[in-house]
Amino acid sequence: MAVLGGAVDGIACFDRGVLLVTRTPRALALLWLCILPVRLLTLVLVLQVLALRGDARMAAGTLETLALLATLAWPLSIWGRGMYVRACRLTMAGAPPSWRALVGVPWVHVATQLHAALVLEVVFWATLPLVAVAPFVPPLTAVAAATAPSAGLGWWKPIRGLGLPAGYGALALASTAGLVGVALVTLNLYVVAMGLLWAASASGMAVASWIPLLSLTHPLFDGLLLVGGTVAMEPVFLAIVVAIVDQAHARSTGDDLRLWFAQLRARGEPSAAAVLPPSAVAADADAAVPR
Amino acid sequence: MVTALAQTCIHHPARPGAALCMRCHQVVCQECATTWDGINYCRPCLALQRARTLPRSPAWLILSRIGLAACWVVLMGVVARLMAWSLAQVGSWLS
Repeated sequence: MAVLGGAVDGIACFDRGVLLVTRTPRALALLWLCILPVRLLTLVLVLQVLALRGDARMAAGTLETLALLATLAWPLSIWGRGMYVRACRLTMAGAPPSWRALVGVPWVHVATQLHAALVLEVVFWATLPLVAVAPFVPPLTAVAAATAPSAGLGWWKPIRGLGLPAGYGALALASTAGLVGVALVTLNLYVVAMGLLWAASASGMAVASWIPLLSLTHPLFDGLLLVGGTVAMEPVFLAIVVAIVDQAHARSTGDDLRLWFAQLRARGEPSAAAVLPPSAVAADADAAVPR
Repeated sequence: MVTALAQTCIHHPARPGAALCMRCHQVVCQECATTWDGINYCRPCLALQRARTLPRSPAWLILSRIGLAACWVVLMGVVARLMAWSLAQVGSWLS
């Protein structure tokens, strides 16, 4: 375990995040249920815009109604993320969460995340036509979910909590991996859909009416594949971000060094006792709490 | 490097410096230094630190929470309008 040095180890966080996903199946299912409504409603809105194209500005009322529905479904996804972050933290602490622990997300954590995520949503949608800023916003919403329990509720605290001085490199790596992951999952979903179509056709079912629907030229099919890809990858990305945030926090507070010394002592290596005075070693032993 | 001149208390030049305030990084004497949470502070910095950590009154907290909730409702309306507006912009570019 690399604990010395300034930056967060992105690869180690990636491994830790993937491991967390495999250990939180109930939270994973619940998170998918929470984020699906907002994703599907956003898809309906985007499909409407694609259908209207140049006339989209004329149908502002319809678009605003759909956007309002998507926005109303959005707090559920915020709660889902808070629940998943909590499940990851409990799992990291060695206590796999029960259903009761899963749904018992403190409202302050949800409210803190909601505040930061709302500001980020405003920035995202305001800068979407500019293209340059918008791609940086979604990773920060995951950071908002991961930092909400420690940031504290207030006007500026949730925004300040987004700062990860030692973790931006790892976050960029995780975002790139997340994008590649979404592309791969989307491709896999397409292959599965084609496989099912082929199997249905081979078994003698009438699939002629499905062929134009399950085509890449059909916007609804493309959108559903993309929604499937993003929904499938969101827990993985969120778990990696939780690992990054925790490691960045450990580096800023010295918890990682305390843990490292505790591990050295547990292995019977004399280096920790040799570099620290006896009083510091005793105090360190009291303070060392495995995360 | 701390010079000989700076080794006297910043508030009492006649007294020798005994500690370094970890907030303003000034040398202070034994009387001016206070250790809080294992960190040395001078009097003005300690007062600032204390003011930051003082609990707010319940009325202020309630007002603040109501303000935050109102802010969220307004922001959600703004998000919905921005979403429709920016997607309509993208749609017009696609045509």
